[in-house]
Amino acid sequence: MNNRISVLMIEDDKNICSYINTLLSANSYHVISALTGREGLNLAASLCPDVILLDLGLPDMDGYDVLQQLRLWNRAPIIVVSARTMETDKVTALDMGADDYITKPFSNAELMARIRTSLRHCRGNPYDRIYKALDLEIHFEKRLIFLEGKEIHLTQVEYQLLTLLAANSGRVLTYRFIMSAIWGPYIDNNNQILRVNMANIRHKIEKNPAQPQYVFTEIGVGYRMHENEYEPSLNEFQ
Amino acid sequence: MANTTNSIQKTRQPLMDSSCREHIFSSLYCAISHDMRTPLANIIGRSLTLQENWELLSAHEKIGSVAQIHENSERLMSMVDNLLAITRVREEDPDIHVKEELLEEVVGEALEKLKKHHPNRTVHVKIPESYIFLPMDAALIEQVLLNLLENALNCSAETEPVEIKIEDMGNTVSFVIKDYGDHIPEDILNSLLGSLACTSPRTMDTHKRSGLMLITCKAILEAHQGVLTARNHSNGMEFTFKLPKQKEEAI
Repeated sequence: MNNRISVLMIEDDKNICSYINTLLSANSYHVISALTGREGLNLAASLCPDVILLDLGLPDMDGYDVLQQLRLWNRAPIIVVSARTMETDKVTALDMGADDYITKPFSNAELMARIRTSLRHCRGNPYDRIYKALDLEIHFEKRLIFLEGKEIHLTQVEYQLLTLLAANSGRVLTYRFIMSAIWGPYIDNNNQILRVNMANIRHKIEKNPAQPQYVFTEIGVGYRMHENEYEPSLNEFQ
Repeated sequence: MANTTNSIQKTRQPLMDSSCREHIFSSLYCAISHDMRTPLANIIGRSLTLQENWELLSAHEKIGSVAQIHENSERLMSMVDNLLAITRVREEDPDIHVKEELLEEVVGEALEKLKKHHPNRTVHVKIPESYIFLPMDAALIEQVLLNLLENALNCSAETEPVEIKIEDMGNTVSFVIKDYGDHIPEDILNSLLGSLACTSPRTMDTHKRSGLMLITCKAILEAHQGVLTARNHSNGMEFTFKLPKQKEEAI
């Protein structure tokens, strides 16, 4: 039985296609390629891939149109592939429903990590009750946070922010997404209040706020938290 | 005597005057020829050897050559980033987006990016206790930090650390990057960072640091009303720049 995870790659550069194909196949993913947006949409509809890699620079269609059309009916994670220094492009794609992005040229480790994270967050995983990474532990239901075994205290807003990032660990969350989730959709565009709160959190949990281990800034885009390393034991699901 | 012509001229003044831009260009040509030819020569040489002598080389030699091709390609990629940055700042109407940014976030991201290429190197970071917002184009200032840190790492031994110390000086924030690597001779340093035009590409061969990276830093900092200075200390070099805390008032 072939139960490999399938990845649909919508990318017009044949060199990159071939390289990603080799990499993903070596990691036991089943790869489907589309060289144009239209072909990509057709294949997504007929083959229902588990993950979609979408290059924004396609020859026949605007990458955003492809994204928008996919998101009308498709709930598979979409990772957008973009060129460097195009922050606004990434943010637009994320706010339009992409789950994450990766910038060319990317390392193999980065691509594999992004795909794993996107699958983890969408596969109907049971709600992670605990977040654990390095010396930080968050118990969502009990609303407790431990750093190096000692309980730490965050304000209400700080707590909501950190748990939002932890629940989406490994994925980038845009400023707008976070602002909307914490302060509601009518908050204005100035994200200073968010950054001040993030700075306060950083000063409470990071040994050196300029060399963070848990919460990473993606300037111009948003924030990303260290992947959850907690492995639930079997009897938690009973 | 103030008059309307003066004020119109002021609003359209580019961030750098023309003699400053001229200097950057002539230094640039010198730097490009040196900084790009060296890795390219390495890539061409190694790949040609692999093509022509594949059967004769040991597995170890093959892997070594491929690793070298990769490392030099990354170096070239970084040069492309630098050239793009210079293009952004040199225009009459520069493509710079100055916003209030959190110092620790910009530094943090630069250090993360650095770690990807230099995972085993140590960087000591000292930053003020309380957080600071600074007006800057974050992508460009990150480029400055990356350039200075990468330069420091590339020309010092694997075991040597690099130190970055950031201090709140009241009206400005100062950044000092200290390494334990090669020196740049004083006259070449003055030529790179001063207002004299660089006259000979040969001057770049006397040290392992990247002239292009330093020129890019200088260009970006000047566009931020900052200045880059450098000095040799007994065991290496120290690069310093300051950024103002207040945005320049628009006229």
